[in-house]
Amino acid sequence: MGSELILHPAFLVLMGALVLALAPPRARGKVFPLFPLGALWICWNLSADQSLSVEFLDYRLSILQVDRLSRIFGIVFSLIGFAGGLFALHLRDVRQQVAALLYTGSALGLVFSGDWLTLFFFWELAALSSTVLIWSRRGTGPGVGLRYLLVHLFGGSLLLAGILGQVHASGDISLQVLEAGRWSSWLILAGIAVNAAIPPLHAWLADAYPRATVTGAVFLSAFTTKSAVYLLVRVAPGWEVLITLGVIMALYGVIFAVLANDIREILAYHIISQVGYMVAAVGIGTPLALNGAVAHAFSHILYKALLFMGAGVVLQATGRSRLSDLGGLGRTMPVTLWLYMAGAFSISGFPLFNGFISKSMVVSAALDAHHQAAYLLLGLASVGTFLSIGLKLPYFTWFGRGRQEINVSQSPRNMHLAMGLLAFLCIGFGVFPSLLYAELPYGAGYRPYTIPHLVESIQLLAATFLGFWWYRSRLAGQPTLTLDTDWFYRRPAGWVRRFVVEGTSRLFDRADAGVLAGIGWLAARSKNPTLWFGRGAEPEQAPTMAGEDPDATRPRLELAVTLILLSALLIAAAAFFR
Amino acid sequence: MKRWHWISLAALMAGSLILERTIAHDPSHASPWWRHIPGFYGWLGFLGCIGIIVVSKLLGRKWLQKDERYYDGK
Repeated sequence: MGSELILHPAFLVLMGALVLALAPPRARGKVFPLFPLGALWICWNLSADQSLSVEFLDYRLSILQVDRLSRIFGIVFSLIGFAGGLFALHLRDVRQQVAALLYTGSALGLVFSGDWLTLFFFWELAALSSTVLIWSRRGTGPGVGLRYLLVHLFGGSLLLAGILGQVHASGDISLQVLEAGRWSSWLILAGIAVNAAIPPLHAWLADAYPRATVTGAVFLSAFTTKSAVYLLVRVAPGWEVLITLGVIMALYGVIFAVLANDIREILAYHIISQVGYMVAAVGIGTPLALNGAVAHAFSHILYKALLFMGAGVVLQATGRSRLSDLGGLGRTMPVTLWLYMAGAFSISGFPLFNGFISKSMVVSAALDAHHQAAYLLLGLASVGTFLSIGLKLPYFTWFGRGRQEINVSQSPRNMHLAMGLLAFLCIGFGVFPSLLYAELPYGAGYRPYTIPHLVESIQLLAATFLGFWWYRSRLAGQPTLTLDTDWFYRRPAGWVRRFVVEGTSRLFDRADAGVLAGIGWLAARSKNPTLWFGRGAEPEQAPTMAGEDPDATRPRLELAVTLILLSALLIAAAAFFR
Repeated sequence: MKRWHWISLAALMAGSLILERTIAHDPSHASPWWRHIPGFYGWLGFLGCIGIIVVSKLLGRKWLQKDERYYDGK
């Protein structure tokens, strides 16, 4: 059993997190990429139908269940773990390194889970470990990580509730296609929708990713949303509601990316947009569409990590990430620019880049399945992708007006090396699509390089460029914040804080002050009973023992005489009437 | 943008339009109505691009864009 576990890609990486924590600090960066590399080797050699299970309580947990779908996700997750490790080779922060390995390991564990309970364990471990990558950024308060964690715990609760309902109804914990019409299926779908960033449950992504660490964002861009896509392909193929949601996502991300100012926020909104293609493809549900979803997830992980690396290098070298603070960096950062552009051409669907061979698969599948509106709207979304990622972001970062005040520091060479590796893969899969197609899980032939496909792409991209050039002055970054659905928990949070925390503490303060004043009032009257009769000078502040003027509280003579006479009179009257 | 950039862009557009008219349609896919509009994808790209910019900026200006300290204040 123990010896078999070492051959589980997830356990190898999770063990790596432990080894890394114990390794000498200088070696940690170099040891890090070895574990994902080992996992990649294992995933590559896994054969379909390989499985491994353990007994836990009354259940038989299937911790390794291999088929072509899990294998290809395992391969790309390990690959990006390796590239991310290379990008972070210079890092001296054990907390981030361990969290990144735990996160990679949980993503791998998730795709190889054969049952709901194992999957849920890795689902939650991924949420916890990824939160650390957001918290580790210096200068960001704990708020953003806390929001991220709470949203994911909420999503996890939905998933768990759905899983419990599912297991209760079927008596079986194995991962199976969800049945329509069961409430537990909808709960599971809602839980997955949080991680897949389907609006209106998406706002955590654009809130947290731009505020993660430079290296952490690379890992974040790959795992959470794509493992949710994996799960959708596994359990919800052909759920038609996903077509509508996917198309909405694709356009939603595009519109918000036009308004975004932070370069990593632009990239984050385009994760939502690109995952929209995958979600829509899962909804279409034909073998070509499902292959398209998987292929696009594969391509997307590679080019999106490359784009986040490019933006991370800019942030690290200049300390800036807002378009309104950037400009003219092309001369000082040419290597970063061109490596970034390889990712930008890929995401925009340029022929010979990997986005083209996967995105065209999804849109062709939409057309073949007679979803014409979805086809046209996804085409519109790819216009927006090229506009924001391929034109707006690079134009206002590397081209345009240079700024004298920007100091550009040298970036570690390993960062460019990691970008180079991913750029090489983006172009490699773009030029030789059969390398990817051969590994796809569902049997459906597809040829990307046909004359009509090329004509469509060239016209779409060239015309988008013309539109951008004509209107480019309107696209300059503005230092503003864009409201999104996180308003619904961020804004009321202020009100709740004001009412529950500040309101309560104000109430306590007032009560405190009231009680103290009352005690002072009583104390003065106990010391000097003449005050009850409204006479005598009441001391302005509580009397102190030392240095006090005795005359200040001394009763006046006539009052004392009156009191004594009155008392004598009362005693006499009492004696008389007894 | 230098002059040769514009010339190659124009050549690319012209080439794609000629190819679109001359090469027979890929029979493996369905043939919807828009195939009969010349340069349809060019129009989709150009008008789509302008549309996305105008709609987004309008939404931003009228509704969504706020001061950067919007959530920091009381």
